[in-house]
Amino acid sequence: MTLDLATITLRQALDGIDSKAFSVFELTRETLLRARATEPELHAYVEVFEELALKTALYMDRARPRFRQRMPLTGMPIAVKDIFDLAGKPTKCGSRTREHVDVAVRDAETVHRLRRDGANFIGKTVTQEFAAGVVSAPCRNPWDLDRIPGGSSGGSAAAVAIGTCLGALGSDTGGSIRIPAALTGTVGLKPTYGRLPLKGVYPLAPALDTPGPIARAVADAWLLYLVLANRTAEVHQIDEVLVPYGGKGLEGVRIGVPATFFTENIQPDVEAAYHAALKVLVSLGAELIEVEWAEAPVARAVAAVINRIESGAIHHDHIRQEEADLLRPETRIRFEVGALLPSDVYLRARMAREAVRASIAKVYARHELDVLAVPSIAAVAPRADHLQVAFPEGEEGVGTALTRLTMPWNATGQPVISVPCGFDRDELPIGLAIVGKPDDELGICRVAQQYEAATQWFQLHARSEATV
Amino acid sequence: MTDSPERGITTDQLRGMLRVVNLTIAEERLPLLRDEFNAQLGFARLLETVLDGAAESSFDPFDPTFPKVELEDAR
Repeated sequence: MTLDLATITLRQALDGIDSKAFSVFELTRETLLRARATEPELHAYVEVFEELALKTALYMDRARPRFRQRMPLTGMPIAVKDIFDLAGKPTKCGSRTREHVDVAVRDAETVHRLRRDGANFIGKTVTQEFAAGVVSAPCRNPWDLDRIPGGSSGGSAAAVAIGTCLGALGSDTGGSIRIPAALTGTVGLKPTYGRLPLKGVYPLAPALDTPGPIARAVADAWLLYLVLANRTAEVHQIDEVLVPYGGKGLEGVRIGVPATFFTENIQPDVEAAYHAALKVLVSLGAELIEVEWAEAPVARAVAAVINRIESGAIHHDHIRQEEADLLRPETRIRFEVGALLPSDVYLRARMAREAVRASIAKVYARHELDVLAVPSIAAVAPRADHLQVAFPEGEEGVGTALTRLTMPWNATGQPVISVPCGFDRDELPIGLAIVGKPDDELGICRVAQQYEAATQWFQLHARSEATV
Repeated sequence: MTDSPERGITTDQLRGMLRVVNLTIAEERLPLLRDEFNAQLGFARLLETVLDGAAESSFDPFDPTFPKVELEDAR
């Protein structure tokens, strides 16, 4: 096995280390060299931990014979979005208001679980300020450096896409894992709300905030999820559990296809890729069932209102002190609007959340669905110098354009995985979202893995050598 | 957006609200803040479409038991 960071997946790298094709040190060194080469133009990282990562790698090579069975991520280069506490490093959240913040005393719980299971942290990645937005400046998209990677976990997704880590931690409040995953041709898994711990994560809207992994392949995302969910005992059965339904592809799987909302006013190339993906799912034996979820726009509204009001409360001090001027204008106005919305709107949003959760539960039950399949987002990566997105019905601001299909699932709290499903005419990645019932992360990963195996989109990688 | 109360709050109403919540906003930022606020009010109105007669959901029942407390957190 050759060590080619342009193409290697996390599980392939684990195999390479197991088979002694390369050492943890060699993997880490190559990863850091790649970061040195790409970072000046990509800006995926806030900080790369060169010395620390190399020292950790040396230790792991020595300790590996003893610890391999207990450390399923031994030596894997992992990146962490800079809203997660990582002991000994500051959590700056992409904000000038935290430029001089003290270092974190301990790891966030999710970071701790990754470290405990052998992750070698390569660095902290760029986030939109306080995870509130989709641009992730100054990070750019590895597929086209004139474009944004999406956000708010944009640095994490860009780093995975370019191969300066093999997995990354992100968070998703309104789409912040799935949006950058779709725009960078990576796999993003938003688990069921509330199932992964938020301790040590700087909050945006705690009723919606959801940590999750970004990876290069579905099996990698599933492995990282198992570690994050404290289900390490299951990591050695990944191949068995991800080959679903007795090895018969997707035979017998019932996939709901919403008739409206998710396909209205989306870019034509995204729509074409989505319909092509549905055909692949049918060819694998799945049954497509057209469904109607009339409450989808309300679910989006629920997530939007809860997001604004909770973030306004979280940042109560930031918008009332002199440091308010240090916030980006777009961040500041979000928090100010949240602070102005009255409490009865919040209460109504929480009640409406229960109503839309009940409504989507009925859709699944009525049609006996296993999953839904929808476009991850409505567009491909927008240009960094023109944050408006063109649609058949006109232009939209980038925030609305990229979140309107993702936010409903934050309101319902369902698990969603975004997998690459093709490219537009400019060779920009497009994402397919598989949406599961609560706690059915395995179900969505199984469908996504079968789709991935049939299409192999994940084997196409960002044109790093050509563009970076 | 025009300063139309039918479509949301007016700039004058916004000034009053800002005083209530103790927020100081430069005058030139008020129109943008008003428009953003009114956009969120649009979402808030949409919520009402599912609240009339909506059955209580059993999706997320309240758990009355104490949450688990780690020793280090209890100190």
